[in-house]
Amino acid sequence: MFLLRIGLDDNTSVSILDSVTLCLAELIDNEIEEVALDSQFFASVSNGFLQPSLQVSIQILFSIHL
Amino acid sequence: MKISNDENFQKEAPELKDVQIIRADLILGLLRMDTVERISYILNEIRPESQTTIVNIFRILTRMARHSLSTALKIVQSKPLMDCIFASFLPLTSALSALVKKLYGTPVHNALKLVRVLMSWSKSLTIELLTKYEVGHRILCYMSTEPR
Repeated sequence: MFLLRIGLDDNTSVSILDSVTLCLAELIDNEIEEVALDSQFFASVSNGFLQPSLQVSIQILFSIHL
Repeated sequence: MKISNDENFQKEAPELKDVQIIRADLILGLLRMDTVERISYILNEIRPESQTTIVNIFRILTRMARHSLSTALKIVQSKPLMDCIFASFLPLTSALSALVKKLYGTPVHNALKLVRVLMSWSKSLTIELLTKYEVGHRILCYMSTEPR
């Protein structure tokens, strides 16, 4: 973790910054959990998953196929 | 219950070393190491051109924002960071071109997700972000762009 902090402070190398941010993101971020949390959020707020997308809304409104 | 909510831990935290905090709670450890300020500096001053770096920075911030209300507040209260995120990654105007590869100045969905996660913590936080940064107008700009 301290190595990553040193990496974040190394502002001269693009590749180091790239690697450090990737490493930190991989350490704390869990993609499967993120997807589950997002699904939970959209399912619990205003039945978001049931709402048509903007594209579908425009298609219905103007009776056109985008 | 999260260890960060434990009263005993909160009392002892100022005296604990960074390593001990990291072992107990990784996000608290990152906060102790001023990660938010460091990220703010990177986005504002270094302005990385790599899309991967920027996307990963948003992954880190989003994960930190999910941790607790106090962490979310810490992110929102970092004015340079929030100003940069809204100005550069959720702009009010954008001229998208397939040739443009830099993410600065173009709407980035990871930034919008971070804002959503921050706003989901409390009504006051939502009102603050909505009024201070005109989030509604920024969402319209985001929605009007062609996906890449």
